[in-house]
Amino acid sequence: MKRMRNMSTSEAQALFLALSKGKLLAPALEWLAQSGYTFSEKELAGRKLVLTAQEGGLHAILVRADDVPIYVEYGVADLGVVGKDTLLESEAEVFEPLDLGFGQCRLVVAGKPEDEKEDLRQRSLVRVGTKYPKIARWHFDRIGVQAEIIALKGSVELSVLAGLAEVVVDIVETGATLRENGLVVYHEILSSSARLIVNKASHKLKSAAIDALLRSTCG
Amino acid sequence: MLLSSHKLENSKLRLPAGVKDFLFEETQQCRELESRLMNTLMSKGCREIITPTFEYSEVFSQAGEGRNALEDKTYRFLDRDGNLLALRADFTAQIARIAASRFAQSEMPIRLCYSGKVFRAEPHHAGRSREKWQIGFELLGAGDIATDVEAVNNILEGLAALGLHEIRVAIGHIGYFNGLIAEAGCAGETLQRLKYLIARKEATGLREFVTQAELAPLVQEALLQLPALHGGSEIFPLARRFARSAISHEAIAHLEAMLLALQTHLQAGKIFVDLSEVEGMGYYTGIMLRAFVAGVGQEIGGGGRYDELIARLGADLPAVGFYFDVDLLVRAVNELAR
Repeated sequence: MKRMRNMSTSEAQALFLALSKGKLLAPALEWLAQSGYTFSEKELAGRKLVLTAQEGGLHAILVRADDVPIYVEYGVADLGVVGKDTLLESEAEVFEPLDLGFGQCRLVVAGKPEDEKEDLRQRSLVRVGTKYPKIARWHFDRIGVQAEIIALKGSVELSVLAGLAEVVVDIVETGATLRENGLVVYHEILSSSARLIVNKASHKLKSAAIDALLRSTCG
Repeated sequence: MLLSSHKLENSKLRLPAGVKDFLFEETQQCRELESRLMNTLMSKGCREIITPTFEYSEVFSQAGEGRNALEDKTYRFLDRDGNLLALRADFTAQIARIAASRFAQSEMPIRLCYSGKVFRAEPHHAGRSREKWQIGFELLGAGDIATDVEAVNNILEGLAALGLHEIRVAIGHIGYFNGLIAEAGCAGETLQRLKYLIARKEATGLREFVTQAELAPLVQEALLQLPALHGGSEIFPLARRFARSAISHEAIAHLEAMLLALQTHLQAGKIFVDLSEVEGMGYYTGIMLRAFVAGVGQEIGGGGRYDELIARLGADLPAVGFYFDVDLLVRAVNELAR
């Protein structure tokens, strides 16, 4: 990646934006296009991980969704597009000045339908399978449930079916995955959507370019 | 080589997360940087002091608030008489104690500087260290605009002495925010939450908050605007429009006067006003300062005015101070050289 000081003065304000390669990529590119930054088909189709906008002034870094807050917190990227759920889980110290509105989903507690009516607080220990261990810990502490958080990387629904966990904390968009696996939503923890996040130093050092991008989005 | 019989057991050579060894070149670099920075501060009239590495824990309990509270981050231990002691978590808190006990009758202002480590139980996250080397200065016994300007000049000259020129010092003023919410009756956890949302510029959360809190429409509008109130002198007219209390207006006038005095630096892009910088040590009463250097993704130092901290300990001395983080300055210098 080219470094700031190797660039001309106008390029010094060029922005590095971390984008996740997952489901947020398409709507994020659409948002960028509306804000005046487009990428050539050739670049998008290729395997490059750093793309340069055709209009100049902005480079996109493609990373895993979980890594977006990390890239931005460390300042390797000035900006990032990331779901509120991933952002909370990362505990990253960044600014989040804009709700981009897309990528809407809910983070819920779900489990088998036959246990739905049971009060989790009455159990001595509830085993929770999740990809969001920090949010799950925070949530169950807050509602007074003694929980054993089991951090998983892969399909969380399976943990209940296989008997590893009693409930899951997971993201729901349409609810189809839960239904297919015979699980139901017990209650919602939070609703999430994509946020534009900003590195704290970039916010000061590249304020002109960042404010321009924010203004173009807010209309 | 990792043999299949190995399990990941703790090595005898390990070091706790958040602390580190400085080897030869790094040590030399740190010492050179330290002497340059200290010499600059001394050339500006500061005299060096050395504070104890530990003292009674209560000294640090005044420092910080909300998420930044040092209360939860202080390393405490008992001495043999059962007294609760703490490792130095903050220089300013110690200097306030020193000022209240020793400088009350001295000729003002007193300019002092220090270099040493602070110890904080930071979460193991984003490379945050638990032992931080700070170099800083405090200007005691003067509460005027000229002294705040002097503090900013010290920062700029300190960074210039290290060859760092692509820099920006963000100046906020807690008085502006305090004035806005004076009538809103925000306190305790609600106030901390509000400050957090504004400081994080969290647009969605902030909108939810002000709607739920049923604040007056003008206060709502003012708070929602706050995350965008940053830049140069051009932001003052808008800031004034939302300010209804004398405290907010005084804060704006204060910043305006500072910018006038710092005109050259402002034009060079080295000064930046940010009224949404409302989170910091709980003892700040006026300007709040943060410094940024190109190539480092976090603030390389911070400070502000604390006119009541020393008074709470018995001597009515206004004061302003600032610290530089040595590790981050070294990183900035190395980035520049690369």
